[in-house]
Amino acid sequence: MMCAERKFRDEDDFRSRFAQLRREDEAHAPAFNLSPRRGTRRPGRSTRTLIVAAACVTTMAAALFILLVPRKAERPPAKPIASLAEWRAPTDFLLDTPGRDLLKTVPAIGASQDYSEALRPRSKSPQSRKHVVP
Amino acid sequence: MTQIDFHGELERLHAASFGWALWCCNHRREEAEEVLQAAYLKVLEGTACFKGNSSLRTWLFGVIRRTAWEQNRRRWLRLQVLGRWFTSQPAPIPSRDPEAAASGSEETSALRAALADLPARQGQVLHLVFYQDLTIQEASQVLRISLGTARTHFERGKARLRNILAPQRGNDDVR
Repeated sequence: MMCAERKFRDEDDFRSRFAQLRREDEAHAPAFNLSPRRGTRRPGRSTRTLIVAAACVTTMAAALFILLVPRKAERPPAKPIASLAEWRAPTDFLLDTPGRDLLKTVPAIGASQDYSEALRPRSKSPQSRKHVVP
Repeated sequence: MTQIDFHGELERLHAASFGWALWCCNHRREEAEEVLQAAYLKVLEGTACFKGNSSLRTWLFGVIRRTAWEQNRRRWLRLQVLGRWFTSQPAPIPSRDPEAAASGSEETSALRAALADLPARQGQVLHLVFYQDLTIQEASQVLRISLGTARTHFERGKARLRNILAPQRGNDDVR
């Protein structure tokens, strides 16, 4: 009960304070006049015009730049790329080991003295021959 | 409703509309006048269309609130974005109306200061209910919020305002 009373008392107090505020504001309110004041313009129009004008100028400048500025000289033709069949690896020479030709050819039996010499067992030197005691 | 009717209604509601515009513009008089003019133009040119879903006063207050919001946003954009490019120093935000501030009594000055301390929504609801004598439902229509939300803002705003004004009221009693 007390709470409700206090609530209404507060509301009345607020209402009277706000009413006083309203009277003060009304005393300083401008006269009702629908014609826009001098210098008052439709809000936003100037900003929009400015943005559109800026966009137009930028577009025109870009177009002029593209049309008028000469293009750079064309690049010299690049070296022709070697075909895959002609290509050789730079480390190919490492595969050419000494004596590789021997492995590539098929030897004929008896045709070469060198091979038979190489295959023949060496004769033992007389110094190394063991003396067999009879 | 014809345009002549609108003209008459706008004239009848002019003082209240100005009070609301002042509130929406944070008590900056010049700005409030511009907002009011822009809102009247919207109404008379038919940009803002009254459909009769609420009272004319509620609808007009809604238009004023919307216009003030648009103007605030536009000013903010101008200051933040274009201000850096076109001006070395951004235009200062006009201060509160010094004439009104000087002429106000001590009590109303205290109330203005207290209202400035409230959150925006709470202040708006209190203004619409106590200053403009609208119901909470009408206030909710103006602010485009639900009735429950408006009630919550109203109660919280009152409690907060009471707390802010209580020490001052105590001082007045002592005097």
